[in-house]
Amino acid sequence: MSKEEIYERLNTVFRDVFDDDEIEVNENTTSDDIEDWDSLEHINLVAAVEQEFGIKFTMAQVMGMKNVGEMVDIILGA
Amino acid sequence: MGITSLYFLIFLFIAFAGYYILPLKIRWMFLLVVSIVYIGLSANLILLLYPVITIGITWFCANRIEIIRESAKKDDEQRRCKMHICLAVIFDVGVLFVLKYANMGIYTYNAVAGRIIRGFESTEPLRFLVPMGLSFYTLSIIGYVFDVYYGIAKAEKNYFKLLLFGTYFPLLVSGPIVRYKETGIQLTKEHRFDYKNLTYGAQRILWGFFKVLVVSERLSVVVNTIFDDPDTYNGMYIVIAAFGFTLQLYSNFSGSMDIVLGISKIFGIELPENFRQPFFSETIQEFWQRWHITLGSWLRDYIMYPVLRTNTFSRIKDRLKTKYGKKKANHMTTYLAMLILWFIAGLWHGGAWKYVWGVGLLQGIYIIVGEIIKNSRNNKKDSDKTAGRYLVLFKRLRTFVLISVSFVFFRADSLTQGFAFGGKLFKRWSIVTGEAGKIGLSSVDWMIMIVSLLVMLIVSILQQKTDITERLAKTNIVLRWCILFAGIFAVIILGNYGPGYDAAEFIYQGF
Repeated sequence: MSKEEIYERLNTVFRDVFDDDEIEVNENTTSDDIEDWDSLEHINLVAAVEQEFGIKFTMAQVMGMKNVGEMVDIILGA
Repeated sequence: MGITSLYFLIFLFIAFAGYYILPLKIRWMFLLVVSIVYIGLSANLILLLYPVITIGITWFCANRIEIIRESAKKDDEQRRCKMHICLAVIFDVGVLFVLKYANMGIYTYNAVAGRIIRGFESTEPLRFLVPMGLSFYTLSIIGYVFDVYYGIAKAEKNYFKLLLFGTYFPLLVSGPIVRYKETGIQLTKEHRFDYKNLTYGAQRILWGFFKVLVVSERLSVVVNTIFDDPDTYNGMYIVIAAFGFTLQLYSNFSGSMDIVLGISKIFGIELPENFRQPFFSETIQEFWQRWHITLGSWLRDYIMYPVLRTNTFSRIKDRLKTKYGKKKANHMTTYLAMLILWFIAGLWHGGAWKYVWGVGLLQGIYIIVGEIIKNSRNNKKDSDKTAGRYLVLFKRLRTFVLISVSFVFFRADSLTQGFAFGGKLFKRWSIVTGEAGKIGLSSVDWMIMIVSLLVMLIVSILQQKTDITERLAKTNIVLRWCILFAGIFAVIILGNYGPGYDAAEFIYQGF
């Protein structure tokens, strides 16, 4: 799976979770850039990403992910 | 030994001098000795046994988890790690529960059984001596063992380093709740003397003294006068007391944090901020990201996230999905986890139902209602972005009012008294005349209090935009010293010492 493909699929997940079709994520996207990405929605986002890619993040990854770039690296390494 | 007492300042001076005289390598050991002496001077030294044993067991379990992980024998690894984390958590929480909540059970049992059984003889509450900072260090070390379990932090091999993490004396006053990978490792690093740390730390302590002694102590007179005399004060005075208590709690708790963070800064150790201008919050959710920040983030990371990722919660979510659809199922499970989080948050504040409701479930309900309203208007997202200044102000005031309502329960003696106090709001909105009309303070004290609150407001507005300590450091030396002397004199002259003064009480110290 290429990075571009992952970003493409992540865009779909983000748009669905945050109900916003204009979201376009890149490696530097953080929770500050997406209005509804708060601590309450974080777990829902994580669960949606896990389901999309058939992976399971560890708690350390859930708590420590700082931007979408890190999320992609974890997906690539899974 | 209260941290606003003269004895404490002398103690601090000796600790500070000793710390920087000793060789770099053993400075952390000296901090441990100072912390033990502090416990001995402030409470009974025998109480040191609690953290010594609790931290001992946590230290053992964390190291076992790491050894199991690193060993070649991989079978059963997960189960053995789980067993050790359970042992640590059960022990840590167990001590906290017995010491803090056994009496809550007894009082509740007495109240319920007393109503049902005729001639019921109530059970006597237990009398314990509780170690200083119990609720704070328990959460910090539980967080530590979870971090080791999750692989976020390395297990500390040296028991005494972990003991310092749990008993570092500034933290025993009223937190903040700290993380091992941030604060723990700093404690044992070699810190050289830095003039900037000394001046910044001392300024922060001074600001804390101002908040506690000049502002909070005066507000407490007004709040106590109204609360203690329910026959005289009704209606409008209830509003004054509710708002007054919110401001009192803020100046007291955030002031004590300024003192604690300032002390720590002098030793070269940066503690995490616990407050970030909370009264500028537009929602309750935002308020709790700015008020007692370290408690909120602890509960998020070690309660809410793990709970939401359990299999039970996944199953609940799946069931809800088939009935209500994915979006609603997501929200509903989050709300359920929120209620669990807030129940624990309330309980953490103390073994009484008034806390479970006022600083617990009610906050959860506020946030959930806020979320439901937000989600129902999600299609009109942009309307808020164009919000004018007045709408922002309205939202901030609304948050302040809602928080003040919930904090009435915090201040009340019991849950019932909290509701009764609310009921009095609708009685007699008449003005009390004569001496009682001054609500315990002289006209001069009222003036000092109002001006001081305005000073706090101005500082908060400035802090929103800039780092005020850095800015002060860059101002002209004459002006800077004028401001600092004004602060010192304000604390010495205007500090509310009163007759029989024995240092200010810290509301969060008993936790």
